[in-house]
Amino acid sequence: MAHADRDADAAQVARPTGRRLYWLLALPFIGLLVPPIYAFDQPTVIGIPFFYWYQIVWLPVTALITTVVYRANRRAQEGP
Amino acid sequence: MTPGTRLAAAAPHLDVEAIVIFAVMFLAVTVIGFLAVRWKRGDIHLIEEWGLAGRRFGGWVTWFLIGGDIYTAYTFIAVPALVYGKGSPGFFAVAYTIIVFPVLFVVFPRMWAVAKRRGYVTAADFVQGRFASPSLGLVIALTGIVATLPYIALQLIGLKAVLTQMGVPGDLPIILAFVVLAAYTFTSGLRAPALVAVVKDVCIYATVLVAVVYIPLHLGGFGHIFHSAGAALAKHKGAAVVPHTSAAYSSYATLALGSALALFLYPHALVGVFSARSGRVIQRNATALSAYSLVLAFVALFGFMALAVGLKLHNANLAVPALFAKVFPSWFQGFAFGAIGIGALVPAAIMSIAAANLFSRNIYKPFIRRGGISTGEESLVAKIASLVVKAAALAFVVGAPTTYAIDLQLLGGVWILQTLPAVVIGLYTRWFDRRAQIAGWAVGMGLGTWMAVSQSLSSTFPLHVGGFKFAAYAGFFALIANLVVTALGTLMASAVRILPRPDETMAADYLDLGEALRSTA
Repeated sequence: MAHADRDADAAQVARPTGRRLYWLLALPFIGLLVPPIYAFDQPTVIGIPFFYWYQIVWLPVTALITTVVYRANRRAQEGP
Repeated sequence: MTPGTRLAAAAPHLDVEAIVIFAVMFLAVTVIGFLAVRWKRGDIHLIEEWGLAGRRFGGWVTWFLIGGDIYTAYTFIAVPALVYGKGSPGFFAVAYTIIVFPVLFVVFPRMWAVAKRRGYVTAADFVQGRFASPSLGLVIALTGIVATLPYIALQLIGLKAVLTQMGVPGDLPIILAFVVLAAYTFTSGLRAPALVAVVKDVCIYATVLVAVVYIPLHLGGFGHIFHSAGAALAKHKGAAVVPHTSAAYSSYATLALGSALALFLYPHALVGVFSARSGRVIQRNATALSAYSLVLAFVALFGFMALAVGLKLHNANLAVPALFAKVFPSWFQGFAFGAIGIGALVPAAIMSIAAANLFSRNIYKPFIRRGGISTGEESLVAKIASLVVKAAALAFVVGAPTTYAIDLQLLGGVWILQTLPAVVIGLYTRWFDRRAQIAGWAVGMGLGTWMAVSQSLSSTFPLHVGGFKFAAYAGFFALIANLVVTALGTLMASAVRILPRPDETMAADYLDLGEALRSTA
């Protein structure tokens, strides 16, 4: 079908090398969507239970991940 | 949240100093709202100019705009209210506003690109073009409007909470605020809330940063806050500082995931995406918006602080206002409440613009006028619709109990999630048959609504299969049912050789061509 061909072409154009790092974007899902791994009181940081500060720590980590992926993406698109 | 409690129940004395500061901030914002029409000037009689500000917003404005969209007055009232009432379940808002960023980063530059190339103003425009089905577009548009209306009403409730705390009685001030808002949204379109959002967020950041440092110092540190809050929560039914049951885990995770997937399906969030200058602006914002989530995490902690200072509130929505009233001097209260009040106006304006765009483009144009309307009429209809939408929300807040708006907003989240197959999966494949999608949508809407209503409007539903119990977000179950029905329907359609209609878009439309066009911006 002509339509399927068009999609295949697009997949080639749309998948520059920078996308190799896209798997990193799955990490926040794993880290945050399995509460049993972080539903604890201890250890606390400045009196804040682990459950809360652990999730807050994922904020800068996620921001870092999106920045790394964005930079890699741009480099790949701009070429050598 | 205590059902049936009117906000006026806890009316304290009139705080003149706070009210004066609040009023000055409101006045300043009104002037900005009217002057905004001159900013990045374009032909305001076109819907792309009125409703999307000509798709010319760069990184900073998009950051303030999406931030103003997502982190609303109601968020700042409701998230700590939930923490105040239940403890840990309220913190899911933080988890969800973190995982939403990878979703934004990957999916929505694609949506931006196709919208830019094809001149789409709404998600329903995209669906209509992609599947050549005005009926599917209508379903998406109606869902968007119905999900948005209670959201606007909730902004008014946020505004009402701070007015109540300052001792301002009655509905007249809210009506006045909304009439002014309606007037400058009508004249300036999206430019008004975008500019006001900058002011709002500077004030919100200042307020939250001061409060998150000052209050713990005042109360003897976070250790003491969590200790006292834990003791207070132990008396609340089903509340805990840290979740410990499998039902609590699965509810937490599915609520976070479902809310993250739903967020950018909301018409007002998509307005923020569409009005950006390029796909890269959106990707950079997927990083930069996390500053707002940090603020939200602090705001959620205010719920524990409200417990720690020993507030006994009938209406949990007053947790933050009452906490601030207890620890801060009048002038700072005025500033903080002003920030929250302006924080109600920005999203209310964007939401009404988003709903108005949907009405004009996907209901009025294809179904009432059958296609043949001028660009001027399209924009005028949207402007008038934005007034009607705001008037409806206002009437709802003045006329119906507060809990109705809260319940409907909860259902709105379940409903908007049912547009995911057409809007998000549709960006990647058009395998799903158009009628199968309408069937799946109907099943998802029905099941999700029934689940939430059967639990007396709680967002989680305990599913029993055999001897096994699984508690999760009602919207999550509904989305799975929706996808199953859509997939089965698609298989049936292809079995009887019902061919799909032609696609208006091309594969190349979805690529990041925005950067190539950047030089023209």
